[in-house]
Amino acid sequence: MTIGTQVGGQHKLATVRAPLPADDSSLVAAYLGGETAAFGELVERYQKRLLNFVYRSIGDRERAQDLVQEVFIRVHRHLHRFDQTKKFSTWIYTIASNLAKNELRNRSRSPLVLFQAIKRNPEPHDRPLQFEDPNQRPDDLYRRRHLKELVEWTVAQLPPHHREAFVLRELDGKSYEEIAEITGCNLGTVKSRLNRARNRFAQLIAPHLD
Amino acid sequence: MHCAEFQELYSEYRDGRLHDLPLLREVERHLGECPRCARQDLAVRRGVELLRSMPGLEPTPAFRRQLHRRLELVRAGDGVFAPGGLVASLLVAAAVALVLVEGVTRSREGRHIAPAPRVVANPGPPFVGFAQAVQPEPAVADTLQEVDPALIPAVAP
Repeated sequence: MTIGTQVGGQHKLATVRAPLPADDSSLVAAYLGGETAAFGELVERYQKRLLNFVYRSIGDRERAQDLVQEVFIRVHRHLHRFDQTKKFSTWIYTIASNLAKNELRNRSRSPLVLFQAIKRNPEPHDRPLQFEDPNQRPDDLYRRRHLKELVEWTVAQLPPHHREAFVLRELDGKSYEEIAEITGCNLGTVKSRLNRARNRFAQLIAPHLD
Repeated sequence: MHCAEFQELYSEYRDGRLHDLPLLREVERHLGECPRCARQDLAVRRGVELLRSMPGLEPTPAFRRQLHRRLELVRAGDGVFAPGGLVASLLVAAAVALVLVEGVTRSREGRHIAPAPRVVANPGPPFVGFAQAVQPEPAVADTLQEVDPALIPAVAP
């Protein structure tokens, strides 16, 4: 929106940016309509979610960042072809899922896979420092931190397909139908993968929670 | 309900997708009675709760800068000068150049009359061999006379 004002005898133009729409599909429409800031808003909305999703899929933070950037590049290139009757979040997660799968496939063909498998094991000194509640007792803090490491390690132990379904459902809150679309599977496969993932997750974590 | 049946239905139960009321009651009853399945359910709930309470990774400041740079490159290179488009254009140009060069070379070659292949006669003497003339083998009919007649099966008159 452009507003004209008379300041000191000169007519100055001030551009007032209209607030960006709240939902994804309106943001997509706004970007396609020439509102470049809408793309930045989409990046803002999805960067953290996708980074954590890809990181949990491949277990490598640096590579996860590269892949998430690639996701946004692809979204930028192909947004004009996106079917706007569909859900944007499902589409962007599908791109991320495919890139993560390619990464795992490439790694399985490379000798580096052994190194990656070793890196996946939990090592307390290898973890980034996190802010903890200073009011908690040290032994509680230690136990809680240890449990968090353990629970993350447990997720990493799940087979890739099961882990993907588990993360999409439990952490990203996707419906079965969305998971089916993102992973390219039918509903029956999604149910079965989720069931197996949860059973295995429980088997691994239960002894440490008692 | 057996544990195996509970395991089969567990995910749908946890996700609130079990709409069959009698079945839902059975699952709940089993959960109240079976300590093993109750322990599994508790482990999933507490484990997921812990996972959700974790702050998760944050993109580094470099992430946005790099992404911005990459997007700028994509925007600047849209069309023919995009990395993919440029490579494709160069390949097509190289292919056209090769076809042209090949065509010109062939058309130049076509002006000369290529010499026809000629049969070259063997200039040396004909080969006659080093051995004496070979004696012919005795005829097979002669050998028949040497066979013992008793061995020849008798033919009834």
